[in-house]
Amino acid sequence: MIAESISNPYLPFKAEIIEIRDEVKGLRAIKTFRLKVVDGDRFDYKPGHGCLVSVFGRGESWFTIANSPTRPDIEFSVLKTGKVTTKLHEMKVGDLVGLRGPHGRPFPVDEWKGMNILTVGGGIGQTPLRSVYQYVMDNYSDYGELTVVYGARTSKDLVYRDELMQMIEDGYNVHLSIDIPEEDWEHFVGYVPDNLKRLKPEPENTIAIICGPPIMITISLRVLKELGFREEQVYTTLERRMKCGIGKCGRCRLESKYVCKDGPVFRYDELSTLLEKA
Amino acid sequence: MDTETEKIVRNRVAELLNEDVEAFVVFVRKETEPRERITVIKGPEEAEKVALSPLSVNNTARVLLEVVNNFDGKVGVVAKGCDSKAIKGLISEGKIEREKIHIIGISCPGIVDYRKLIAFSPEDVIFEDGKLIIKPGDKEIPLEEVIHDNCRYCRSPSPVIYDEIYGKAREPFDGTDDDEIEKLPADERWKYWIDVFEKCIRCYACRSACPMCYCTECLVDPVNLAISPMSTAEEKAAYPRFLGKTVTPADNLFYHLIRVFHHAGRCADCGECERACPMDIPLRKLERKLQKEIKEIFGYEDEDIPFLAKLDIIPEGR
Amino acid sequence: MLVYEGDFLKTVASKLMKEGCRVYAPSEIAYTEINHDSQISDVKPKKSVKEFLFPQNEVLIGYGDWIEKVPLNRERRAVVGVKPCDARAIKLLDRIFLEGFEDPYYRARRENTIIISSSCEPDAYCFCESFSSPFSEEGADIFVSRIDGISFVKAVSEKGKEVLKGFESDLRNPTDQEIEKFRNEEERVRGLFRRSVEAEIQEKMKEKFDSEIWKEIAIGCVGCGTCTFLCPTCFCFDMLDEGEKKGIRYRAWDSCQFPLYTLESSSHNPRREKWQRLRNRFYDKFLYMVESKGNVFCVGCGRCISECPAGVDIVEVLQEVSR
Repeated sequence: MIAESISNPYLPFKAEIIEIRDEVKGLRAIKTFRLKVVDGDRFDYKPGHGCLVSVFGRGESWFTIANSPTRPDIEFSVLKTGKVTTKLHEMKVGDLVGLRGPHGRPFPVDEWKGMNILTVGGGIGQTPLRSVYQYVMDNYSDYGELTVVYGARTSKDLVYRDELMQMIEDGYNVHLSIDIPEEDWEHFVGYVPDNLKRLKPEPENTIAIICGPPIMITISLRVLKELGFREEQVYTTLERRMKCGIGKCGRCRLESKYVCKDGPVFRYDELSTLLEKA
Repeated sequence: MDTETEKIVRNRVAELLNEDVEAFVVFVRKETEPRERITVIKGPEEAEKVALSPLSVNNTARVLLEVVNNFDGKVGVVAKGCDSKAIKGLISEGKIEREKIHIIGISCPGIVDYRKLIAFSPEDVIFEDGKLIIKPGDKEIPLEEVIHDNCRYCRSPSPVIYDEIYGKAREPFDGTDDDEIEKLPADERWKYWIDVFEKCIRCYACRSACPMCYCTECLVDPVNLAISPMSTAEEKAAYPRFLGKTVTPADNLFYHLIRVFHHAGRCADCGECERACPMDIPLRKLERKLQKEIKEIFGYEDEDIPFLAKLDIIPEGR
Repeated sequence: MLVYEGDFLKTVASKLMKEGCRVYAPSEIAYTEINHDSQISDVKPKKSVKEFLFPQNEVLIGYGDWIEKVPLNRERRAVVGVKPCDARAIKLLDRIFLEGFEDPYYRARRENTIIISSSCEPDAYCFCESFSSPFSEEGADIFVSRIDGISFVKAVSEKGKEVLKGFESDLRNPTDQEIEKFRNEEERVRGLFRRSVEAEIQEKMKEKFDSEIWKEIAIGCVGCGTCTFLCPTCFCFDMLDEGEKKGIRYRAWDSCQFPLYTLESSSHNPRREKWQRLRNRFYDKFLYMVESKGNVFCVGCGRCISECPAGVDIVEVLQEVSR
């Protein structure tokens, strides 16, 4: 099927769910799925790459890959929000899904060698950033200092919570925050941009990557600029309603660019020239 | 509608915009062909571009509904017979407040199929005394020759609701509304409609142009347009999909029949659906048939309360 | 360019039909199948030729437990009397469907559809002259121009040359007078256009993006998909599954004029307002596609003007932009 999928980019290849982890429970539940490609080898990808996960009978949805290519298998963290994601949340270990990808332009992690990496995440937006910091952790000699800034509404809404706590214990620079105060919370209370303001990361030789809700991205970018970051140092990864994932169907277009093909990763100076502000 | 009525209306729009009317839904001429389009003007100085003629084809009620709540004050509207019927319907369905609008009613001589005039430039076409005059050569064409077929069946060329009224209306249609297709045997009728619906491309021009098709949530859309940040995943996943985007005669027929049924007793008879259709589907045949059935079965025709509301009233003694 | 004594469209259509090839020709609504050469008309169909390569519905995958079928349409078909604007649009569609990831469904149809275009005269809505000409051979496999009882014939592609094999004895080089006749006819038709647009309008468009004119133009717009569905170069599509356990995954034409087009599951909609969607159509054709592909994605067929329920007129809109 892999060979056929290459000549026909609409055909997904088969992947089996080998592990499901509950990240967040409740109305806006998030689960992480670990997948193994069944009919072929695992494909090569870079942090920031996206895939279309396909459930026949429901459709396809675009997700950015949540783990680093230096780790085994492929992981996606899925927020339950519509037809496809609700079905995914009902699925069990051993079930099959389709995969198309990896698509799009990933983070230029090779260009960043020798630099400090700062990730700024909010809510489910941590997914592509996890791929980046795992990659940097696994290639630590290639990079400078790694700083992870992440927040969610409450401590229960933090994705990869246990993992991040373990990173703190292991001595990594991880700065968590929640919007609403809670008992027993030992970390920052407030919005992610406020945490950023408090931490004052050095712009010198640093790449910042922001991902999260639109308002968080906008304000975080403003804070970074105040701290002396230039737009060329700041990256983000975008989401649009996607269908084909291969730069044809048109709906994810941002003016002359397709998010699925020319993105999802963009450097901020590429976005600031757009006419349409959305 | 002739040049004289146009002048009167133009003056009245300017006067009203100087008084308590904040904006006016009017027609203006197109630059490149003899056709008019609807716009909204806000200042009395803009009134000079107001046009009104048998080329004022579109239904102003649709635009009125779209803009009326964008203004704090009154919104004016120029309304032909069918436009006023739609406005009346929208008022009775609680979509527009009567006090919020000022209606300049126009008694209508019928409207022209602009496609029959595309050979001429806009300034060469003049309407006077029920005649169309083509300037080069002063060629006269009786309005009846170029009029929309739908207007021949018009039972209310004069407005049914208005604040002031101008113009001279055509004779209302008073015959029985029989269609040739109705007389065919069932299998031939079926073939006729399947052939017709084979052409439909589901661009939804009929739905979009219709002043009475105002739902945000429409059963032919594959997902619910009326979702909010509060909608849950389960709600969205459970939203029924009656129709996909398969453009087959069966699905197209399903769409059109359901749409027409939703107009039971509500249709303004303006013919926008049929005029909007790029595939020349005779949609008015369906609407007219339904209006006829509603009248025969339920005795309902152009009443002040909506048709379904009337069915809801429990008769005395039950 | 060669000369054929007589109506070459009829001759080639008859020959192809005899070979068992399905032949289509213009009719009021669409390019429809014919079974006799007398059915070839000169009208501009309301639907463009794009549906032969990119049909409104196309099954991509038939599924059950897993992928069961991948139906590629390789049926040999010929469309004769294609309007030069429609043929030119195919060139533009090629740039979408064949560049980058190649679309196998489009490719299969493209390879097996013979496009025989025929020069034409503009109607009141046409403005192809602003980008090209009604005598353009672009996008066709064979280009034909019928003037005073003779046909000028040119094989444009390899596929076209293949079809012309077997006609060698009936085709000859034109005389000097015939070449002049062709030029004169081209000149005469050029003078018949009543509409034109400025194709190099990109800088002006950038300036006008935030102008109030878009809200004004959108007032009458009903927000339907007529302009985009009838447009020969509009290529946007949706992908849907039909059937829970067993069914089809298919694509269907979609339109940037529909609010559902960009609506995200979170309920966020980047183009929530009708005027934003209306503006997008003009910017896409005259700015974004020029930036990404180097081509204006409008061929000047005029269908979006003549069929617009509300009288939105791309020529008037672009005039307003350049003001």
